Amino acid sequence: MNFKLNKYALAATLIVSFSAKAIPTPEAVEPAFDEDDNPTYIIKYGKGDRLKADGTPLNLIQIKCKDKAVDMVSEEELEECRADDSLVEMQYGWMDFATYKGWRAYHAECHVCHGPDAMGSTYAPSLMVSLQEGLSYDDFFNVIMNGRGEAEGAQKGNVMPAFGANTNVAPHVEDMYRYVKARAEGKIRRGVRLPKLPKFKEVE
Amino acid sequence: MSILKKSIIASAALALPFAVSANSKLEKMMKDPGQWVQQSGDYAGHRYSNLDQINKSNVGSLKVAWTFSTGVLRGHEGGPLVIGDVMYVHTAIPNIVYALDLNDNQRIIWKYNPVKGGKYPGGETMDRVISVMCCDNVNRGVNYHPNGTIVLHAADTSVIALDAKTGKEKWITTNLHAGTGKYGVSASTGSGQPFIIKDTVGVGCSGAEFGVRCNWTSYDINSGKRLWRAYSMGPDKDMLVDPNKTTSMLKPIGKDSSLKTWPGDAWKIGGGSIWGFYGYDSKLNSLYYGTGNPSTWNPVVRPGDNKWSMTINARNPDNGMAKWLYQMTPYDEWDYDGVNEMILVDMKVKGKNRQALVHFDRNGFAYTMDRASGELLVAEKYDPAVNWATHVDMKTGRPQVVDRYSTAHQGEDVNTTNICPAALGSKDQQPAAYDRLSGLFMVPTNHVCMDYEPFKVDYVAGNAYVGATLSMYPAPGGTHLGNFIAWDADKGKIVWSNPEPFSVWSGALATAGGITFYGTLEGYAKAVNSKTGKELYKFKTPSGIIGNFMSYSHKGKQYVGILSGVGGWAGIGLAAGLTDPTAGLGAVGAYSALSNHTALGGVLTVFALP
Repeated sequence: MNFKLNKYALAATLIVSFSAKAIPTPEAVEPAFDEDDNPTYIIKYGKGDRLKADGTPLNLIQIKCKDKAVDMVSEEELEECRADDSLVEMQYGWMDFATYKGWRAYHAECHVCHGPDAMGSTYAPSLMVSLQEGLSYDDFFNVIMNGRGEAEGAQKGNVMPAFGANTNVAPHVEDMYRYVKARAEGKIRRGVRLPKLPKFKEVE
Repeated sequence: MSILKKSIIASAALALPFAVSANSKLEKMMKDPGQWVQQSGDYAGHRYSNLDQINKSNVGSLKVAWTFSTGVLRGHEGGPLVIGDVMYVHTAIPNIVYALDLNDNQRIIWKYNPVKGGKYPGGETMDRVISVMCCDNVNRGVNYHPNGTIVLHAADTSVIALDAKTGKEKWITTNLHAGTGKYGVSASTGSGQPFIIKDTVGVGCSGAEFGVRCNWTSYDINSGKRLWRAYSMGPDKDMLVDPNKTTSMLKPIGKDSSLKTWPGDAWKIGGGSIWGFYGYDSKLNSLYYGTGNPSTWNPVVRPGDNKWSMTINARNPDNGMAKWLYQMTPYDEWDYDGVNEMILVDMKVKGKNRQALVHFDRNGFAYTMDRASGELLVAEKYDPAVNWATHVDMKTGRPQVVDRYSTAHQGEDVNTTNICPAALGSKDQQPAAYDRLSGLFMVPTNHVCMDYEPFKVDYVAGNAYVGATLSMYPAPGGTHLGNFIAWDADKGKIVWSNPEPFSVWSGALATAGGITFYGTLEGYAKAVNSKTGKELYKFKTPSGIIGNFMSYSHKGKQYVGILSGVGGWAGIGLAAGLTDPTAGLGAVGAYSALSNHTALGGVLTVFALP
C-alpha cells in the first residue's frame, strides 16, 4: 500500500473493536484515510476519554452517537447512547496538514467573531452551520476577500471585514474552508486539541 | 427623605479616603448617594452606594420599577449616570446617548447619535469601525463634568463633548485613527470610558490585536484642545517618564527603560491598550490606569519584558508624567491584559495603615500596592485554578513562570495546553466593588482555561495582528465557568465564593444595605449578602448582563439600575458553549450553551421596593 499526502488514498476504514480495557494506542496500528486524506482510526468502546499510559490524551477527533457526530444528534439520541455503550464510537486520528493550517488560521483570526470551533457567537454566524446550509466555496472566498456590509445584506450592525489584504488570512482561505467543511460534516469534534499529522511513513 | 439623611450620616461616620479632598464640585457630587455621577460611582472606584433603603431584610421583595430599550443589539457594557433628575444612558455601536427625565416617566429629553450618514465624526464609516472592534461593539459609558458636559468616547476614537441639557455638540476631536494605512496607529478604536479630572478629560485606546501603539491622551474639557499624550511604550519622551524620578518597585526606572526591552523597533506596533476602569486620588493628584497586552500574541518574535505593557501606571494628570510603574506580566505569553480597574482604599495591610490600590489582574493575581509609593504589598491568586506562575516574587515583583505553561518556552507552532487562566483572564473588564461595611472586595470572575499555540504573522497596518490560536474550556474538575467571590486584600485570601454556570461578566455594586448586586450571562440580576454571599434575590432580565450595576435615589426612593445586552468577549466564547457538551459522554450537559438561555438586546432594568 502506498500512503501519500495530497492524494485521495484509501477509502477503506480500519475498524477495530476492543473492550474498553484494551484500547490500542493509534501509533500501534496503521491509519486509514477518508476521501479528504484525513488519517483516522476508528475504535468502538464505552464512555469516557482515554489517556495513554503516560497520561497524555489520545488524539480523539470525533465521538459518534449512532453514526452521527455528537454535536449533530438530538437529545433523545444522546440519551440512548448514554444508556447503551455499543452505540458510541470514538474516532482517533490527526488532521492532514492542510486542515491543520486551516484550523490554525481560523482560531487565530476568525474565532474572534465566529466563535470557537466554527460554532458562532452572539453576533457572528456559525460557519459550520452556514456550510451545512449550503455556503459554497466561491461565496466563502468572496466574503472573506471583500467583506460584507449592510449594503451587501449583512444584518444591521453586523459587518464582515475584508481580509483580501491580510496576509495572515488571504493565503489560507482554501485551508480554512477545508477545516470548516470537516466540522460541518461532523469529522472533527469540538475543542479538538491539535491533532497534527504525525511523521509520515512511506510504504513500498 | 429619610434614606438620604441616613446615608449622609453613614458616609460621615465612615473614614472615606477622600473626606478632605480638594473642593472639586465633582467630588462633592460623588458623595451624594442620590446621584451616580461617574461610571465607577466615585474616583476611588468603590462602586459602593451609601443608600440602605434596599437592604438584606427587604431585598427579597424587590420589583422592577421601569425598563427602557436602548434600541441597539450587541453587547452593552458600562452603566447609566444619574445627574440631578436626569439619567444618561449609552449604547453599543453606534454609541447613542439618551437623556431621560426621571421627573416625567423617563421621557427622552434628547437623543444623540454620533453616526451621521453612516459615518463617525472622524470620517470612517460605521462598517469600517465595527470591523476593527476586537471582541464586539461595546462601549463602557459616558461621564459627566460639572460645567454641564456629558463626554462620550465613541468607537472611532472621537471624543465628543455634549451639552448635558440639550445634547448639542460642544466640541469633537478624533483622538486616533480607525482607518487603514498608518503604521502603528491604524485600526485604533475607543471603548473605554472618558475620564474626567479637574478641567480635563482623558481617554485610552483599544487595538492591541491590530498592532496599535496605544496611549493615554488628555484634553481640555472646555475647548477640546489636546494637553498631553503618554504612550505605553517607546522612547522616554513619548512615554512621559523621567528616568531618574519615575520609579518601579521603588527604584528609578533609568534611561530607555522601554526601548531596551523590545527587539529592534517592535515597540512601534507594541499594543499596550488602555480600556478598563481607572482611578484618581485628588490628595496625591495621581491618575491610575493599566496597560494591555504587547502585540502580537506570539511572544517568540518579541523577546524581552516588553515594557511598559501589562503595567499599572500612576501619573500626574496635569502633565502626564509617570510617578511609578509596576509591570505585572513582563513578556506576556498569554494575552493577560493589565487593563482592569484600579480600586483605591485606605486600609490596614499587614498591620500598617496604607493608602492602598487594589487591582484584580487578568493574569489571576490580585495585587495590593501602596498607591503613593508604588510599593508591592500583596500579590496572591484569586482563583485557585491559576497555574501559569507559582507565585510573585515580592523582592523583584516578577511572577515565577512555570515552563510547562510558558508558550514562549514551549515555542512557536507548539500547542501549549491546560493554561489557567484563559486569555480572557481570571477577570476581564467587569469591575469589582469595595464593600465599605465589611472591608471586602466583591469580585466577578472567570473560571476558564485554555490551549494556546503561537505562530508567526505579518503586520499589515489596519489589519488584525494576532498570531496565536486559542481554545478555551472550563477549569479542570469544575462544572462551572465563573465564580462571584469576596476577597480580603490584606490577607490575599478568598472569603467566600459562589459558583456560577458562566463567567460573571457584570460589574458589582456593594451597598450600605449590606448587600451586593451582580449580573450573570444568562441575564439574572442577583443580590447577595455581602458578608456571607448568600443569595437573597434574583430576577431574569431580558438579555445576558455584561453591564455594571449602579444605584441612585429619586423623590426619597432608592433605585438600582443595570444594562442588559449580552455580548463582548464573553458572548464570543460562550455563545455556543465552550466545549462539546458531551465530550467523552461522561459529563452530562454540564456546559450547555449560553444561546440556550438568552439572546441579544440592550435593555435598562431599574429596580425598587414596591
